[in-house]
Amino acid sequence: MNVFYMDLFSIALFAFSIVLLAVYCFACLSLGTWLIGLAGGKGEEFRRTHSPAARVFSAFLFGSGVLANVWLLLGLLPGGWFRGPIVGGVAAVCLLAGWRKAWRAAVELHRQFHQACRRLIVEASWPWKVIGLASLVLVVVYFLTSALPPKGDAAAFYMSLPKIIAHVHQLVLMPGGYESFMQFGQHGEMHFAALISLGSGQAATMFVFAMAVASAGMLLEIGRLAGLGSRGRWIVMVMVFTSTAFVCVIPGGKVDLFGTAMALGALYWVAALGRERASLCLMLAGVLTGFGVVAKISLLVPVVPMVGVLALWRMSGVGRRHVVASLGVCCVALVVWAGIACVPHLIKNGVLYGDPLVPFSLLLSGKECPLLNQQLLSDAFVERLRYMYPVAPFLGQFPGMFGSISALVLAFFPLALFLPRPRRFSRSLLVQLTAVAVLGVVCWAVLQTANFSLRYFLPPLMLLMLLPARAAEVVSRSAVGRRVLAVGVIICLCMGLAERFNRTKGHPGKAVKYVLGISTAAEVAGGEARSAEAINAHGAQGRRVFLATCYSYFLQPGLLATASGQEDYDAIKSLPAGPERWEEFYRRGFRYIMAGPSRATIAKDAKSGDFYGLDLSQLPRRLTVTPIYLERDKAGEIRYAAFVIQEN
Amino acid sequence: MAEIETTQPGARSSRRAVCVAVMVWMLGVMILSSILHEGPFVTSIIKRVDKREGRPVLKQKWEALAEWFGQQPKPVRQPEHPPESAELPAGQSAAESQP
Repeated sequence: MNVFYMDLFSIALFAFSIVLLAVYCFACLSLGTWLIGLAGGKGEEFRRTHSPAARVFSAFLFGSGVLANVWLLLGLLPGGWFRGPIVGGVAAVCLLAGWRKAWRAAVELHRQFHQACRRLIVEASWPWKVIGLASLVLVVVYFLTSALPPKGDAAAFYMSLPKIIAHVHQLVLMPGGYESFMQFGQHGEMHFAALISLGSGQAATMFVFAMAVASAGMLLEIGRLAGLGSRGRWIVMVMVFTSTAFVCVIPGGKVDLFGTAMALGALYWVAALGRERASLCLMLAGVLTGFGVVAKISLLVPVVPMVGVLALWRMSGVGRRHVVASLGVCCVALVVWAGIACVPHLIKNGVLYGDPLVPFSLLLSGKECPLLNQQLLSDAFVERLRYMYPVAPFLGQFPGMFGSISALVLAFFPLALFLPRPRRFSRSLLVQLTAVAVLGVVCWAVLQTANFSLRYFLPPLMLLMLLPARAAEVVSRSAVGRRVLAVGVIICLCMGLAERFNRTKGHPGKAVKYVLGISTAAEVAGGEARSAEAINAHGAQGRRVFLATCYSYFLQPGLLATASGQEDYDAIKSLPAGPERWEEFYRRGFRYIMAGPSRATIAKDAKSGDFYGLDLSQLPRRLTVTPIYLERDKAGEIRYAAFVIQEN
Repeated sequence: MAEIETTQPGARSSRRAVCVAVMVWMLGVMILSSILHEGPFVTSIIKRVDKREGRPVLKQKWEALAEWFGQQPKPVRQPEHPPESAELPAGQSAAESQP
């Protein structure tokens, strides 16, 4: 009976999360629609120029960017204004701001999607029916995985910080040694905090899926501008959802896709230059670029040059008079709008760190900033990567890559030989987009050689999908001479989908069990959740937890907010190794230790070990450390542990 | 990106050669990707062949290929070790602490 009740409760929670997510997304869309309308993006002409998908996803991204900054400023107000009722009230105002137009656009988007499905699934031949249906199933699978509890980086920072914000009702520095991480933007984290304040952490993690859809949607609309037909755009969708670098960041609340979606939105509006009023295009492109860079600082390297070069390229072709002046105005407009989008972030850094330009000011003053220049690859790997860079994003298995781009992109590239020759190469949008995508990848390869995490520079990699998808579409539609290649395209698409179904990274099975309540968060999330739950269950409320692990999300919010921070670590490590450190530890109110593999080494018998500078063998006589949870790996080593510290 | 529209015999055979080369490239890339990313049947084929051979011939080749594409060598697998509950303070059962 109890199990049945738990199932119903989990399903009800999942349903509530979906409803909350839908309402919240609509609030973002409504706010964005209203603001774009104020900027001149309205009327019949605007509706005719841009498809419903382009209008809806642009408005959603614009609205979500503005709303994230509203939450940021609300969180900075002294006195704890970041409360559920206030957040709900602001969201309701946003929802009412432009709900009529937003609703109409959403209905049109539904109609557009329905037509696309009919064209590719109902009216198409059987192989294309199978490909269309399989890709839709894949999208649903990744929607389900977005409901999984946080893991990895998200359990360490991206979701832990929002949990603290929602608990203390204001933006504070994240404990656990992550204080310096907050120098970067908190775009995604502020949305997560708002959704947690509104009552659902699951809706918060699922908001990433909304961003994934917005990213894919903007890419498809860029493709439409570049001349891709419905089949070509569907091929792009297959490429996106068979790219593990993209789908692996959907589950659990990672924030990489916030920046990616914004950057692709910016590229859409730059690509629209010449079809739409330049002032509106540049405003949206500038603001979305600013939002994107704030949401994911790594995008500064590839996306800013891409947007700049594409804007200048497009503008040079728009008017023949005063070219230099118009290019100058274009640059100034982009910089000004991007700068305005960054202002709340600079205010936040000014309030929290006393320096709005941190971490860049550290670099200017000659100090080291490892967060800005991560070295994930050894010299040997860098050397190997250098000569296989063109194929590495698709076939590479390098450390820290965290997924690859669909091999379909690499497979279909030679099909470009069969594309009809454009009248002028330099005026072809497809050529321009591919060129700036290559520029983005080259910028990353040159400036961040030892970091090959594809999630850090997804927009140029995703933009590279358009040319091969268009080529595959042309080949698959040609009747004579290339029928073999058309069959080859279908075989490759089926192979790509089969590969992804065979190893659907993100564990849909786990997600289904979790959503239905068959598995608990502790069962699907890993050792960090189980060790945290042991502390939660121990009645630790009011006592402090010393984090000898990176992953703290699963602690109760009260414990998480008072957990050990950089100041504690510094104070303890400043003392000589010995009992003094433990005395200082105890004096600071720590009564629990949560240990994980990256910050603690524990002997197999759990009687000796080191917890981030605290040596168990040097414990003073008056204190006793008792393990309350131990979890071992396959080799028998203790990976996750929880300890209680008591006075004798 | 030149469109080949001529129907002369020489041009026709070169067009066919280009088509064959592109087809080989497409299938080659997808097969290589399937092997590297452990696509359908890859793991079971490797296991079956290695079982027949009595030693991990294909597995070693697969690992060498993956390493060439940047994968770090995997650690040697150890037998499964169940998690354990430790000494528990008052009020908590061993079952509660186990995953």
